[in-house]
Amino acid sequence: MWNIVDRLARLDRRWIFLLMLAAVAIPILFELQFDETPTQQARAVFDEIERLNPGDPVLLAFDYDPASEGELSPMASSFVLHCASRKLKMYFLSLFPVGPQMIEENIQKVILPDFPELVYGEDYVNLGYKPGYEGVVKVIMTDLRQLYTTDSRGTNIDQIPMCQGIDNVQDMKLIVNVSAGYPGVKEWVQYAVTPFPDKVKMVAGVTGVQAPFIYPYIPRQLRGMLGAIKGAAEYETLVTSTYIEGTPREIYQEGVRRMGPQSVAHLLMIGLILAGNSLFLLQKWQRKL
Amino acid sequence: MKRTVPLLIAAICGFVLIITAFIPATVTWGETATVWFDVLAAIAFILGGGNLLKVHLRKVSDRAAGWAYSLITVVTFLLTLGVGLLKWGVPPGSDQEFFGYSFASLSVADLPEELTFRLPVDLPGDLAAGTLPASVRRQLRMTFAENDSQRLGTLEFHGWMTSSQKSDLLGFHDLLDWKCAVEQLAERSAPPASLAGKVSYFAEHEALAISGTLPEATEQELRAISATQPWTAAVTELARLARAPTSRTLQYIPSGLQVPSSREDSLKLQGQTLTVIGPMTPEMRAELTDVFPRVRPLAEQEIERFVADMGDTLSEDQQNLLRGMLGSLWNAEQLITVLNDAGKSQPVKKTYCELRAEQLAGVDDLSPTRDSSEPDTQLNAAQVEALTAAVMNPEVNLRTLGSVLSELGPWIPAQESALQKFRQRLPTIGQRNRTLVAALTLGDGQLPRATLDLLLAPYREEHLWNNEVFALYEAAHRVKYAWSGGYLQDGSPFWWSYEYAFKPLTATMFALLAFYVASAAFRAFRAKNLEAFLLLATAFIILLGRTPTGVWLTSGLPDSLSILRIENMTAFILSVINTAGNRAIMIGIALGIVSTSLKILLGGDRSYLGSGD
Repeated sequence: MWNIVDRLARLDRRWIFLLMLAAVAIPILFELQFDETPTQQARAVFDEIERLNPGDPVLLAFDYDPASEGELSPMASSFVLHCASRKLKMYFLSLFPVGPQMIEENIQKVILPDFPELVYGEDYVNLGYKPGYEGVVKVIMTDLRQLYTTDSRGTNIDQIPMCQGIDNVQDMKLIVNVSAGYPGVKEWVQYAVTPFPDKVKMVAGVTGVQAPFIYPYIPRQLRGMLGAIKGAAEYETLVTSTYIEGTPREIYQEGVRRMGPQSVAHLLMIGLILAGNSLFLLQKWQRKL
Repeated sequence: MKRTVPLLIAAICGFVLIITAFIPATVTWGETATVWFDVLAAIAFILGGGNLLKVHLRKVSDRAAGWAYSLITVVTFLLTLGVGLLKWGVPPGSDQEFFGYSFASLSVADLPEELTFRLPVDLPGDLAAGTLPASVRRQLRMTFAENDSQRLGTLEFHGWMTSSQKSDLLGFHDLLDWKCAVEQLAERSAPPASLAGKVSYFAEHEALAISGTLPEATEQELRAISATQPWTAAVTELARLARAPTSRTLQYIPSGLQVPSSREDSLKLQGQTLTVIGPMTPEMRAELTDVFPRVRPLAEQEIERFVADMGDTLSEDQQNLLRGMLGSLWNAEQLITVLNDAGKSQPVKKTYCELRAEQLAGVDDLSPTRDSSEPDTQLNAAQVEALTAAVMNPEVNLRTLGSVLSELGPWIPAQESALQKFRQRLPTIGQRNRTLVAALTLGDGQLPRATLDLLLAPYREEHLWNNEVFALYEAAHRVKYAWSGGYLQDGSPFWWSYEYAFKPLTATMFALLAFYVASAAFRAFRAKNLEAFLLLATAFIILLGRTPTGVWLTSGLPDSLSILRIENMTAFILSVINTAGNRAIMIGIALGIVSTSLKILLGGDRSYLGSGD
């Protein structure tokens, strides 16, 4: 028996890699899905957007890139779907260099096919990327035009109908941030919400790694937070069940779909931790004998 | 000096930001400092690029370990920089290109005196202190009255005022006197009626512009405005650009295509060759592509004939779907409602000068509109009957239906406009068939090749023709700003490298983490002591709490023990234990940042300046 224990303890890590591959691939191939029950955090985010009136301006800051797209794009799509369904005015921007592509992708996948009646410049606008990290947040909180003189297409901001009357981000009824790290939700909380606690409200969607560090800001500085794919799946369920009759398009089921492989991968991790520790204890016992 | 300047920059910026955080009146200082920071950050990008080249080229040159990776880094960096900056394969940006226009260079200073329009006014002098909208700043001059230095006496505008400039000026001040003056100035500085909508002056682009081609008469009229050299040269240049022909040999021409009579001076179709004189305007393009019949309501027999034409290739469900879709396209009642709505008299918007006159007359409650004196125009019985018959008749062209209706009763331009808008919103036969195919093949639906070809043939023809027209539209375009296109435009080399290299590579790198974390979970995550055990137990609960299995495992617990349900334990750990721990860490970090920042700002810590090598 001790021989087996030793061999397992020295198991080539490529076997573990193979297990992880199977744990992710099989649920994808067999389209394994689980029902999601929205938690209090997902409800808080949903309710915050529900409280807004049609026509209210909302800032959608998509601070993520392709590296974290797998984790964040489902919630970004759900945010756009929710805002468009509520007929809110959407102002997109990004503090990530490749953020504008993420914004454009959501415009292409959500707004153009499902909300063709929305007009660029009147119902939504892509202000694009600006370098400067939290410096950008600090400036646009008091003067949007100091940094954003044009939108991402090069159109003068004063010639964009929905930008007339918007002097700074304090004019937004809500900030929705999808964040992959720095600069992201922490910077928006520190430089946008904290200096203007009575004027600025914010909700966010973050990666799983970030989530524990963002909890201290809830609920006063951050009204609600979606943590990783699980948060996205819960919020997606709330939005689609409220605004879509029948079966939603695939893009609006991405959160739930991606929860399948993630859940199995988590179970594998739990199994590996248990197995690793069992072997560790057995070896310890073996040394005592 | 090498170290003192950065130290001073850091100290000044730092102290300014601290001050602005505590004194609201100094907020703009902070904005300025942050904008300067952005400028410096932009320079840092260039330095960063230079440094990357220096480090990796040295590694390649020395054949140091991993030099091949360095070579790949350098090559991909230069490639990305090249395709991004030079915008290879990117067409000019459509929103900055003024499609359909030809530009001739003409600065504001070179505008002839004949295009200077003056309006005597009596306005408060304070207006001159305001910042004029950027679009008119170079063209508008305010002059004080000769006998009163507190009042404006003249407004002077150089060039023809565009509608957006008028709108910008109206928004400059809320004073009715000002808005009325702007209206009068816009009227004075409008191009002559024969040139309106054809010729413009864009001060921001320093260009005299013409839309479409330039007829001889228009050229003579332009030349007659002034004989100055810059003006004459600009008109000559415009004539050259706006009369240059662009031809295309067409691979496909819709049957019965005819050049609209209103476009005969700018479009010529000879055999398979279509020629456009000057640039093609978007309106011309829309007219050329709008040659396919739009769908009309179908009678029941027509629907049955349509279904029968599909043969026995459709299942019963598909046949019913087809009948439903064909029967719910639109009907005559909808068009009648639209036309009657358009015929209702609308309130007329008053001009600002009318409002000002009312104000001077002592009217307290100024209303921006007044009721129209025109009665409502509704379709009469004969018109309704003709319209109902026409929409069911495939021989009648909806485009010319207005002329038929106008002979049968009252018909106003608003109704004609509503009719054309209604017609343009209707799908073409090709578009309708494409929707039918999409619906019939939804889910498990199948259609044989022959049925697909039969249904999609009209759409394919429309697609071919639209491509032909678009190719000519692009070929005839006069490029103004060659590099104005977005570097991320679909199909460009930069987009390609992003879509097929950067995106999958970064996603792959991130995804690899899952494999390493799994390996670490098995090998390193061991309960070697109490602290490690606590960490392990917490991770165990959190991981389990993020899976439906975890929730299912403890779902049987009674309500009195609900705190032990895995999802509640997860929430408790994250929102209480994690929050408390994180807050303590964050407060500690904040205190550390304060002391470290002070050391840096006061010059006590200069390590960030480097070794000085």
